[in-house]
Amino acid sequence: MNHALPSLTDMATEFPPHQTIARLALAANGFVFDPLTGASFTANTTGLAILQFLQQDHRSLPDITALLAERFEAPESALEHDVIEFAARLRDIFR
Amino acid sequence: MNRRSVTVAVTGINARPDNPGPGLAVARCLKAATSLNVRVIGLAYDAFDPGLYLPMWCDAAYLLPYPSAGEEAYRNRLAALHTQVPFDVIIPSLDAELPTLIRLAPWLKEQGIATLLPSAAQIQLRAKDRLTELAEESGLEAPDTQSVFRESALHTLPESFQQHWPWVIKGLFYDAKVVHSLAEASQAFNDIAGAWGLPVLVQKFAPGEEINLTGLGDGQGRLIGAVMMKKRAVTEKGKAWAGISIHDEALLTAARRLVAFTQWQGPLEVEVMRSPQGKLTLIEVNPRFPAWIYLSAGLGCNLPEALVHAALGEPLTELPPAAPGTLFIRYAQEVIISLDDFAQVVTAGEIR
Repeated sequence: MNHALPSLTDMATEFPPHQTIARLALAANGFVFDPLTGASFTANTTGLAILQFLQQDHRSLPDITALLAERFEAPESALEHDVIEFAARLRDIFR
Repeated sequence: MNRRSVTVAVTGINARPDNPGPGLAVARCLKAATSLNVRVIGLAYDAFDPGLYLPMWCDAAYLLPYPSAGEEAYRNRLAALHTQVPFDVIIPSLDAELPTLIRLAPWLKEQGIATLLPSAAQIQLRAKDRLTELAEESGLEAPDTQSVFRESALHTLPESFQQHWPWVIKGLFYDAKVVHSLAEASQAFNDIAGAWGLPVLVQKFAPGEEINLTGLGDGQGRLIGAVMMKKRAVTEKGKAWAGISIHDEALLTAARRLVAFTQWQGPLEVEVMRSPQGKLTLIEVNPRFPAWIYLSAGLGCNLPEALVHAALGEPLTELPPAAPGTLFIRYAQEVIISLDDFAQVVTAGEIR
């Protein structure tokens, strides 16, 4: 069977499982609280928007980048790096 | 609201900053009760217990003899106090006094003093050397544990232990130390055996984050209420200095199973380690409220208040789940005591 290998971009934008993101309480000031573990962290405006999109079950890099571009009226090319960086941070937090 | 007036005696009012007894927190919960008007009688074991001198939490306070002084001396003191300041309910807050009070429960009932205590058999079920059985019944993992009666036996523990560091060295009733070598283990064994007797328990350290649940069992298999907490800052002894309420459905389910299996009556604290994969390992069950019990009042799930109702035989409905996301931070402060007040406690064993 021929399994397609994930691309580097797919791996770089791998987010924690949806059930993990879905349970997070997001405050407008960027404070994020995990009611299961008691952990908390802060996110900037872009990070908060990414978490909101993830909670709405948008999972792909192009999808999230496009939504960010629309919300912040910025070019997608300038936002892609932010998404990749934030995905890495989330992976680290929920490791 | 017409609040019922009730007098409740509470022990364990030492409130030491690094390792506080739960009594003062229980007293504060009772003073915060919305359905009761509580007069709190503080019962202390040492003239330096601050609860003796905090009339906002303890309306009157008295010294008790240590349980080790003998059951008769303990009962006689309680009888004398009950004559002097009749109380309706007693809530013990310390592990070491529980066996005595459980034996005295029928006598207390005859005196008109209500309790909500686990039975001696229930206390045995949660003994630290029987955690594996309790964990299995609750759907939890249990750390590998060995009972050790002499220091030299540390060197001959099974290979699985010798290759699995760190260990946790625990007293049968109290105290725990994490050790990373046989030398540290020997030192901890001697310290703990000297303070708390034999056997000393050796456990493989369960990886993950500690989370705790405190609740109240009605003695018929039902968990009346529960509050879950993750420590966010700890003292040198690993006690909570700050914490936050959480909601972990798996922990709640396990606690319900534990209470159903043991038919637990009274307060309890369930301590577990949650691994990064979400696996819960039972590390301890305490047969009393924890020192952080005031969080329950702060969350509107006042477990000591519920205990008083249950002890008085009133029907109880399950309390709603406590919401996650409320923090507490403990702080230390000094209470100023006149020499006359201190002398009154030392000489007469009471302060009103």
